[in-house]
Amino acid sequence: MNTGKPVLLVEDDDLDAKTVARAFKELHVTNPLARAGNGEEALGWLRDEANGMPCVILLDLNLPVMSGLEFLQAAKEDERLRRIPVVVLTSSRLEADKLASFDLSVAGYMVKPVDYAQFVEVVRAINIYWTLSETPS
Amino acid sequence: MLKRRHKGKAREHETGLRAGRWRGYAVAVAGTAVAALVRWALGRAVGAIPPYITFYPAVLAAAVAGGTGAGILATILSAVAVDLLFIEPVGKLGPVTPADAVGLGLFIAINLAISIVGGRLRAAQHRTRRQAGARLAAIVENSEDAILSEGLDGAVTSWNPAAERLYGYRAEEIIGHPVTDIIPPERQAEHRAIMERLLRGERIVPYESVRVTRAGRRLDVVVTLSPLRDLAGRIVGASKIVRDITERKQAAGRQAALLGELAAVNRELNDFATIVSHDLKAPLRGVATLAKWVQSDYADKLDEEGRENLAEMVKRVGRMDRMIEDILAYSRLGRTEAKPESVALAELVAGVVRDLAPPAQVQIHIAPGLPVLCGEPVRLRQLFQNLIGNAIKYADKPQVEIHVGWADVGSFWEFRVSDNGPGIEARHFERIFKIFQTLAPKDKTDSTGVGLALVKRIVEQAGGRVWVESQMGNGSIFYFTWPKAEARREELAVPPASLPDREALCDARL
Repeated sequence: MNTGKPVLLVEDDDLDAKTVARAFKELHVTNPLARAGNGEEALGWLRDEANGMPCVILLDLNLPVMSGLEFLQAAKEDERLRRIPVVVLTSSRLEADKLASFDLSVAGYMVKPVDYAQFVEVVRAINIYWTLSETPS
Repeated sequence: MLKRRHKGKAREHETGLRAGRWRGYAVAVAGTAVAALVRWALGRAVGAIPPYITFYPAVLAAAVAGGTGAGILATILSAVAVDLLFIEPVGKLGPVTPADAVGLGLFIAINLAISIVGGRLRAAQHRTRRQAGARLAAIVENSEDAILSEGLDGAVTSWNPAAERLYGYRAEEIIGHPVTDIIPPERQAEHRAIMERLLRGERIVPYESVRVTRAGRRLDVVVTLSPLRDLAGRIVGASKIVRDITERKQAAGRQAALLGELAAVNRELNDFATIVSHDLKAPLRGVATLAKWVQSDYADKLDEEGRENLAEMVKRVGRMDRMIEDILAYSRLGRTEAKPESVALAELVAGVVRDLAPPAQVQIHIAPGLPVLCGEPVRLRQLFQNLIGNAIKYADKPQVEIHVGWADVGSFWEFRVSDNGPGIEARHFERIFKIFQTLAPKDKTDSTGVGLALVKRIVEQAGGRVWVESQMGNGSIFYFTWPKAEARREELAVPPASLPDREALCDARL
């Protein structure tokens, strides 16, 4: 993905996180993958000056402590964070979740496939898109 | 109490009659005097005229006003007056000439007849009037609705037993008191406004209002208001029929509350299915992913059986994934997000067949002229996809013939999808429409048993019906009905919210 900046994965499920990491490896994505277990941790990570700004945030919606939508709300209100593209990566196909996400200006909405091979395809699509798409530096 | 009232009424009536009789005697005396005066004046002015002529009207008037007795009195008084004043010799009683005697006799006879007939007439008239009054009184007395009246000053002037029961005031307690005693403060203005309109001569449509009983209980009522007029037609008050609809209102309220609860439970159930399905998916994805990783990472470390078992596991996971997807699809039907629109079935069914991509030995015949329906395209597609898809999936003949037909059956369209497949035993006709029911062993079929349940739910939500006819070995015919647009619109007019645009979507062309 763009510029080798880190990718922030907000995901509470270790196996799902591992799946994304494995897909990165298989697709030779070299960006470092940072992980936060919920929305609050993600905000903490983003506001920590020691961490560079990520090029993309991969966000699960169903999270403990602070849900994905709550995180989006907070991120879009934050001057520094609002331009970071967020791609929702969730198991929810609910129309309500899609509407709420796009109302909060997500850059994409991907449903996690059950099949691993398809999962890899989803990550591949995200990678290709954010390799080609220009983002503000 | 009723009896006492009736007796009271009868007594009242008798006094009325007696008063009438005294009035009759007075009329007899006065009438005779006037007749004598007129006769005298006429005699002076015109000269010789028959002596009795002016007395007939006096007797008639007395008989009509006071009955037979008054008539007879008037007859006697008139006879005496004529004999004394107008027959020679004046001032002396008793006729002298035979002609006068006959004249007097005739006069008395005719007037007796007039008296009797007049009296009878009067009695009959009284009887009719009394009967009509009694009938009206009985209606008011026995009415289940409160009937009361009020004068222009707002005081109660009548109050029937139902009003006593409804409000808890006895007639003698409330008559003469302001009617506003039974109207709660917030309805006083309404009452004033309506009375003003009534006095202006407006017709008042029965209206719903609130009343309050002596014990302070509030009642929901319907009031039917009509003006009371005097003989000259002036409005002198208002009569009210008040029906207690408290029970009906409460029942309606309870029903609405129950319906609301039902809708809420239904929604919850749907949400529950959706949430559970999503929560089931997460661990399932884990299992699937791990199985795939073991398959790829440890392929060389596993023996043949291990690899087979793993492959079997992946297959089962796939099946569970499909089931969860199907539950989701099924529960999504409970939501009312999608809006019905005009759907050209000919196009839709052709599209379904294209998507199903049937193998070469399958012939699908679609009857021409498929109608345009009011429905949600996604669901109609699911409907035909499942029915035609099943016919393809379960086909067991080398040449598969599938027919899609339709018929106009009044306010519904009827559709059928028939095949020449294996057929279904009659004892399974019910079972196949239930969710997760299949007739093949689970590991031998891709089917999750949701397809026909979905079909049933889609059809029934639209207000139609679905059924199957089949003979083993001869194939099956699945039928379903779908309300025509007009019927659908009527049905849609019942549930709440967002309906105007629904109606607009299925426009009058249908």
